Amino acid sequence: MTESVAGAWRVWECILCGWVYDEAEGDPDGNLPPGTRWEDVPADWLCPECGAKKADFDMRQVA
Amino acid sequence: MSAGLVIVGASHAGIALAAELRAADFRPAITLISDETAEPYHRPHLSKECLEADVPPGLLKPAAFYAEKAMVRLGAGVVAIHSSRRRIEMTGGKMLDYETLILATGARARTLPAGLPGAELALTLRNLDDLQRLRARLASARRLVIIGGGLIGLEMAAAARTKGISVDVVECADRLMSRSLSPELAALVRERHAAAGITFHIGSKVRSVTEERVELEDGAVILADLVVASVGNQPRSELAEAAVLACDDGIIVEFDCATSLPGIFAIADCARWPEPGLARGVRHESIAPLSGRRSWLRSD
Repeated sequence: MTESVAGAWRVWECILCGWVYDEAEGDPDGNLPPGTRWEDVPADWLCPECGAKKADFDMRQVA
Repeated sequence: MSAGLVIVGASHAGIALAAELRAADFRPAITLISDETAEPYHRPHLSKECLEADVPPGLLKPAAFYAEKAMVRLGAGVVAIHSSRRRIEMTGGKMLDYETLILATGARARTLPAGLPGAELALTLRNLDDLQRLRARLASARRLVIIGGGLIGLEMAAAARTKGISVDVVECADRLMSRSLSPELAALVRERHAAAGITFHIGSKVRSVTEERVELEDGAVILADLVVASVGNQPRSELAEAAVLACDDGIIVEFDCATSLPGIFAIADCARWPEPGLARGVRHESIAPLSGRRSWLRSD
């Protein structure tokens, strides 16, 4: 686990399929509890929608 | 066994539906039935890193997910739907009652036309068994011909090329990826693949396949010790057809994925969904608009 990042929850979007990872919600079905920071998502985690790796995600602009 | 929701097919759509329903506090029994024995996996990986690096596909959900979400998984084929009794029959004769039946049987790889000499020699890639067969052949292959210049054919071409195998791609249309990319993007893809050493035969049709070669209709001969066909897929709708559900290159469904029989729904690759303006609707792996339309499911 890396040190947590302070501040608001961020939102990430898979650049392949558009699935959104919201840190506040996590991915409970993928063993990531709500509040899991992107830095703490393991490298072998996969997009639940298309199977893309963590490295294939990109930061989405949050309004 | 008590009636509940039964999902036939434990691939992406079936698992996603089950997960969404549990997330929405759907409490009745959920049973997932699949004729694939492996843990449900990401199919898109098969033509990418699974071929290139000989790694297994990623799992759709962690192995513990299904028990945690009170989902029962059965490894069996489904041989019949007895819709008047809301019951399905599995391989071995075992019966299972349902209140709601979801058909998520997916698609199978289309094979070369049966009349094409040597059609049976071409491998296809759709599931883990196909992958193992293909990997075993790739281990000793020197010259691969891929018939079909679509997305999956090109992914396989790229993966094989990284292993140092000579790769030719035969495409009958006048360009690559004509169903999914604009001409400009397809040209870029072709450039990248050509730079990697892949040879293209565009606007070419196959006349015959043998153990040693592929002959094209223009008389050209490509030496090959492995031939793979990547020419699209076909819905697995035989089960539905036998149960007299309305089908037309896919199980015909309404906007809420209801089939022509009560209590039976079909989602994703096996279903043909209505599309305004298209007489025959569309068939697409990502059509499962169920999360917003749960009114047809009892949550008691």
